[in-house]
Amino acid sequence: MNKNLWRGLLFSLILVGVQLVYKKYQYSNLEKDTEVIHDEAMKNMAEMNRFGRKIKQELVLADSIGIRPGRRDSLENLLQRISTAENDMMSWMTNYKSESPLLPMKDELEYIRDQKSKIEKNAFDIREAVEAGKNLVK
Amino acid sequence: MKNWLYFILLIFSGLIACQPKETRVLPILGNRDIGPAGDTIYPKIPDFNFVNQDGQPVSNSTFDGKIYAADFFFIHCPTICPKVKKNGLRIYEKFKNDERFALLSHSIDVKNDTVAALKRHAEKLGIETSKWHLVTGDHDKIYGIADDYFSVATEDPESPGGFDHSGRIILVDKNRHVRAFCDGTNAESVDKFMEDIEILLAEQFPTKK
Repeated sequence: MNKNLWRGLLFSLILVGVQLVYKKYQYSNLEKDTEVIHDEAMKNMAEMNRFGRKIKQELVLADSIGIRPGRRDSLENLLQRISTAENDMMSWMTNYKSESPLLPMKDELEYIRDQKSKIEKNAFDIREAVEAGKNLVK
Repeated sequence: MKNWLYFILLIFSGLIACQPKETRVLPILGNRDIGPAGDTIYPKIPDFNFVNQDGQPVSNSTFDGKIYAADFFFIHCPTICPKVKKNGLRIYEKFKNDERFALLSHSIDVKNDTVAALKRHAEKLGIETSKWHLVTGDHDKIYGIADDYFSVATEDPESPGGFDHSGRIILVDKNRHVRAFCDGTNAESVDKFMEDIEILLAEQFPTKK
């Protein structure tokens, strides 16, 4: 009876240990993915900002030589999207902790999944703004 | 007979040791143009005006008579910048007493990296303003000059992305020409970069130490 009790306890301990290691592994993979997405988005952000600067130059020029009303709207709209995407990236970075806060493992995984999802959305917005820039700005 | 062999070997080793050391010269990087008089025009870092961690203006004239290493960063960068800063500190430590050399780090997060935030960051790093300027300024001017540096210090000018998050550190000479660059995230690349700094110092300050 005693032997079985010890065996049961040992088995439970091993089970808990395996679960913890697996969750750490999951966390570490998610963290790496998140940071790769972030670095890729930062590269695109440089390109996005190039379009932003070109748009501002064109709008300044438009004040003196004029511009089609539809084009001004399109340029201003894209400039706003660029500004929002950049602000979102900067806020994400300010709030993101690479060493996650001392949360229980379950919350820790939720935290990093949430961060990954936020940066994925931001990376998508940046890519979209770059594509729009390619079509709109010479 | 054996003694003669040793003697000849000794003479040869002595001759090799007495050969003048090969002096490496750093090239001027970037696409050059030919001027109207047929002279070669090398790309130069354009004029800039930013503000450092002490709220003091920093421009090209801050680096008159010096060579400097430039990079781009932001305080809350979770990935590349901490590695670059760690290697930047190695460069700082090695050359901190050499008045011919300085460091210039541009923040690309102009909203959050205010002068006060840069000051706190400088204190955390334990650096002196006179040696290492952490600067902020107009958003478009910072990104614009990042493109200027990047267009010179890249193997592929058509490559996407930018200098601002490449982890690169660039070496600029007294005449605003880019002379070398390294991957600031890679310790070995930075080791070689520190050798390049010494080569450039020897070239640009031949008598002064």
